[in-house]
Amino acid sequence: MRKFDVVLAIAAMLSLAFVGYTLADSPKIATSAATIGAKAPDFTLQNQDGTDVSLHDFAGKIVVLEWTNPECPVVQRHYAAHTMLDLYKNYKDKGVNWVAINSSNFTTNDIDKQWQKDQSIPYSVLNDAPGNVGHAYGATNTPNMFIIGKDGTLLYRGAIDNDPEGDMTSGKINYVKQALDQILADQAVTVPETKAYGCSVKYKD
Amino acid sequence: MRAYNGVMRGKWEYSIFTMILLLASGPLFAAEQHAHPELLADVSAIQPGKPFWVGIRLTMDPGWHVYWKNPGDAGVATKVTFMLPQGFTAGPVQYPTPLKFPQPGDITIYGYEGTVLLMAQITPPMDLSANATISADVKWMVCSDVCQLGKASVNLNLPVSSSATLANADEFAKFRAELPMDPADCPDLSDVKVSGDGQGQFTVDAQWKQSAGKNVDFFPGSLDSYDIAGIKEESQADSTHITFTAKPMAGQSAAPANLEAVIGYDDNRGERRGIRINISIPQAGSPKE
Repeated sequence: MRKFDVVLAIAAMLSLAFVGYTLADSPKIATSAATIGAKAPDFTLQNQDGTDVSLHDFAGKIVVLEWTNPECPVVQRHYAAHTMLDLYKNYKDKGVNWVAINSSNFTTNDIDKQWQKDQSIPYSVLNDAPGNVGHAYGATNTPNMFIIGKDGTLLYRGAIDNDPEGDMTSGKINYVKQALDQILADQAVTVPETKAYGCSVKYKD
Repeated sequence: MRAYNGVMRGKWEYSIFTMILLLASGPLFAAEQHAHPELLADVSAIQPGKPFWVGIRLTMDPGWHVYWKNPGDAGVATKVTFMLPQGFTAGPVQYPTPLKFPQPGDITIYGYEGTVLLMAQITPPMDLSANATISADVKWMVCSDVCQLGKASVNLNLPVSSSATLANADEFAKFRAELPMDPADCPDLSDVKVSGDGQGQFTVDAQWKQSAGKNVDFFPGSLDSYDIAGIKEESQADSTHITFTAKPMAGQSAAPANLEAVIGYDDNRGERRGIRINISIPQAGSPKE
């Protein structure tokens, strides 16, 4: 009987989780998107270990923000291809910091920790389940990329690259790499804003 | 007896648990496909040199949607690439008028639910004797509360004939009628006017012949170069007033001067229809902000 109760409890929990998924239709919050050239909104969120991480911790440094969702197949495709992991690896010693943010309404520190472990992610995955930081930046997709300059201004917002289907054989541009190279060379970012593609951020409201 | 019962119960519990896991993992880990493609033609045989239409029919499971050529705020467009025998040519893929799907967080996406037919006109060569195989690669993202990427290669083998033989007539007629049309061809519209204030604020005024269409939605054809925001559609009696702002994205100096858009509506029989409009956007030189 006891074992059966456990099974029932798991079933109940799972069905509750699904009710949570489907009841995601609620009042709209106006998206106040962070603007290119303006100061990027500060934030403090818990990482996968429950430690607070703030944007101002990186004052004076270049920061890449990556909106993520472990369940999104477009995010999964980029992790399988090591798109973000390779970029991080190639730029971390050039003074580029990297933070992933999960604004999915259903995320928890544990989910973020598991995702980080599964993908061997060397940077923090921050829990924004209430969606406030996502709304402050106007993040709409996963992945959705933002680059903040040393002076705290927003220098890039948009897609990771120009290949939504992931099958481009020539002419592929990684917009984040292009912008980082220009920022590190003290040049103006030539393409500071692109249309992001991916799954919609699974906001609470 | 007791041990035997125990084993039985154990197995039973295990199978329930497995069943729950399978049910739970289905939508999360993409175990099953939620969009199903087929390739159709509007003829059952090809006549040399005579154009015909083919279409990818995508059927979505209830509650799942795929994306228009412009997915909206988020998503991935549904793409069709035809592979044709030597001498055949294909016209552009035609996307029927989409629907709007509002998502939490003020995210609006454009797409299709139920069934959609993405069609293109194929012209075969004059010298044609053997059967021809038309192939298409289809790529899509299908979403409900979660998303799934899908791709498929679909084929259709058609014989050659000297006489016309129509096929799938109802299906092609239904979706051909849902393709965006020019304002002059729209039986429900008397006039449409687009105006801009030169500061990025635009209005589209549609005058209908009878009462205004239902579920009127404004769909920008692309969001690649312009940030289009604050779209509002208001209908009264026999007119619809649409407002939005369009700003070139930062650094997009080569933004096209024309923005294609579609006004989608349901006609008085509840059929989805679309009107194609062109919006000219004043180019650089105008001061920022």
